[in-house]
Amino acid sequence: MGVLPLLIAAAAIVAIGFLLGFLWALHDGQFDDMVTPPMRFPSSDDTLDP
Amino acid sequence: MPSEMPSEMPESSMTVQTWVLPDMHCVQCVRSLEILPEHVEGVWQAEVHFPSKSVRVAFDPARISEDDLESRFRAMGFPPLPIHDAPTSRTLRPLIARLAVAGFAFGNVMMMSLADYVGGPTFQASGFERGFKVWSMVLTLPVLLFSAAPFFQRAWAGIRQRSLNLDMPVALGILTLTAQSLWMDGLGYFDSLAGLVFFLLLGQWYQSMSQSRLMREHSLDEWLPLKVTRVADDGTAALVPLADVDAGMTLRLFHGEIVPADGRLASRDDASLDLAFLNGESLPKTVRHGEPIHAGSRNVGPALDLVVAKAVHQSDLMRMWNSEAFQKDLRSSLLTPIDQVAQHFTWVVLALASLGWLAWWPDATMAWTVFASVLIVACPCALALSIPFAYGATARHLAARGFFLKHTDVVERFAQIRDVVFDKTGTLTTSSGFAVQWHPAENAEAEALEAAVGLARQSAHPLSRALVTWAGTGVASVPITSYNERPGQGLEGHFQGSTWRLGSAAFTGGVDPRSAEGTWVHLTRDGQHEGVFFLTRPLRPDAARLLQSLRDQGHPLHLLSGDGDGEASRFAPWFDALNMHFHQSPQAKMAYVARLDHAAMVGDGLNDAGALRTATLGLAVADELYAFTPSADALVEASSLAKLPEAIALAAAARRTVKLLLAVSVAYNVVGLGFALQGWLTPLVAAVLMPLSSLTVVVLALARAKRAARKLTLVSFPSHVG
Repeated sequence: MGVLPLLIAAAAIVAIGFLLGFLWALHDGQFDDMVTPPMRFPSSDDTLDP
Repeated sequence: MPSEMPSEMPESSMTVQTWVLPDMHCVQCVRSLEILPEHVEGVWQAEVHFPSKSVRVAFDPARISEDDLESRFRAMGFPPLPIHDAPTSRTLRPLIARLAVAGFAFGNVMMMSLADYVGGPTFQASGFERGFKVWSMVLTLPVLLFSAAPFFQRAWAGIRQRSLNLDMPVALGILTLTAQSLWMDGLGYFDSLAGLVFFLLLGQWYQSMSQSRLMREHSLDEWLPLKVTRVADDGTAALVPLADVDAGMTLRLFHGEIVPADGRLASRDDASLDLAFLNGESLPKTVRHGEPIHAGSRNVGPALDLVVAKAVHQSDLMRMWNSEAFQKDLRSSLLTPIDQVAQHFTWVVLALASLGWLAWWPDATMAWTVFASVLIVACPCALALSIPFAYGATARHLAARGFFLKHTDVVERFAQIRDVVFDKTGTLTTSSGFAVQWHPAENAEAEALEAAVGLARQSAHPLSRALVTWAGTGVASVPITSYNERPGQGLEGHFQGSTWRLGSAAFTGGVDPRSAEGTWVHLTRDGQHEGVFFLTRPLRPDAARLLQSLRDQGHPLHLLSGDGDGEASRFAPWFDALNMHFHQSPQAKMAYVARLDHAAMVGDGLNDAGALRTATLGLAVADELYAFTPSADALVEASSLAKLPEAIALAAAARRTVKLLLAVSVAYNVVGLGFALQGWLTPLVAAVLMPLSSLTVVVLALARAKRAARKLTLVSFPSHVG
């Protein structure tokens, strides 16, 4: 049972890492527009054509 | 972005500015913002528009600056955004961050609590309990300090304003749960606490999302069906939609029309403009060639040409339409009881919570649980949502049918209509497509026709437009000076040293020859009879069906006209003889409408602005003309006027929906409070049920509006065929 606090601490560190990652992405504006970016995709294809 | 006010305005002038306050979410917020003028010097009026979470403030820029107002909003717990930054996902970032932190804490605290729920006595004996509780507290701390902060801020701002708002019970509930969890043995209610904040924020997030979607649809689809006369480079005039007006275009504005966009005077002659809509100044202002003219001024002189400096913004038009000068008492009659309830609501809830606490007292755990859950379950969010969503959805369905409302509350006015008053010209009859006959007097001057058409060219009255159309390019253009228009009577101006009058028999001193189904327009020179025009107007193709179906629905119909009674027999099938009135001045129309209790006034907007404003519902018919009338409550495209009975039925359905939703949310609160007082409702369950009730109201409102709209389309379809 002595391993339990260690596991909880490890789980917490991972979870907090994900939370901070999400907050960073949010602050970076990655969730601001969920509609337009997929629509941009086909047009950026055009530049691949020589 | 601050609205640009003309620099010529006097120092004491009033500025109107709108801010979006994304944190606004309850009935009490509305009140705390609208009493701003009582607390802050320099603020004249503050009006909240809840669906867009915006507040419109009229203030004196000399006494209070925009920055001061913004910091005041911030202090009240509503960080503001300027109007052109409509809520987007970006403005939701802080809310999502709070939601994420609360969700994270909720999940992780729940893992600790699960050990207790599953293990029970085994867990309590294991020696982990203390460590788990400390870890739960650590996880909950950011929820209290960060996620729940807005509730505390708004509750505190309310206390400082000496009014209890609806955040107060929630904040108290959270504090009670925290204190109780720290005090008691075992793990406490940290899982409930984090869950409560998480679900409360989730409900707010959903509400913000659906509102910003509604607003986006609003701004994209709903260009008002207004057209304005554009003068092309080659001198020809044509009507263009207001949406297509761009900088550099030349627009022609007739007498009585409101300037839709900022620009400069292109005409050689001086123009006379009424700035009453802008600064309340009642004396007309003279503008010279090349001088600026501001959107919102009304042309009170002859027709003028304007070079547009800035494209028309729908938001500017809407602001003008909703401006102070044209406000009726727009507060919906159903909203008022809610406001009153909200006033006493917090006290009642606090009293109930305390009573529940007392009743359970010897059992301290249950007493505090009941206290907290009563406070939390009582939030009347559903109540606050019912009107914006039910009327908002109906307003969109009405717009799809060609009816454009000034404000969603106008739906309420639509539903109240009993009598329908029609102004004849431009509504029942078409404003173009006249048959015109010219009967000159025997000794008429050679230039009589030129003078008559010259006068008519200055005016936007349907009869004048008909004469101009009839004359075409066959009659030479002549200069008219000292032009004056008497609404409901006629036109007057100087030409070749004489005073010419064009108008009704009463105005010119002429006599109408006896004839049915037509209108006589007399022309005099210095009081001397010069000739007379005979104009006949066809009824709109769908007018008969419109009148018949309104009559069938039991609406008493009234007809008001500034013209002679020559056409009375034409309308006899639909109007009682007592309800048809001819030779009506604008004042007489206004007085007539004022005598009716729940009347809709349907008019062309130019000659019956007063009546439109006086009526319960002022409906302006937008035809070939640019006749933007801020005093109207709604605009309808002429081709859609036949759908008026359908629109009234739709609004009546919306009103029934609102009543149903009010009943639903009150029932929910009563039942929820009942459960909470008996101790069957844990705070967590209360926090889940609350967003659920909001969701029920929203879904019901949208679904019922959609169903009513679809049902009406099906019902009215056969009558289109027949």
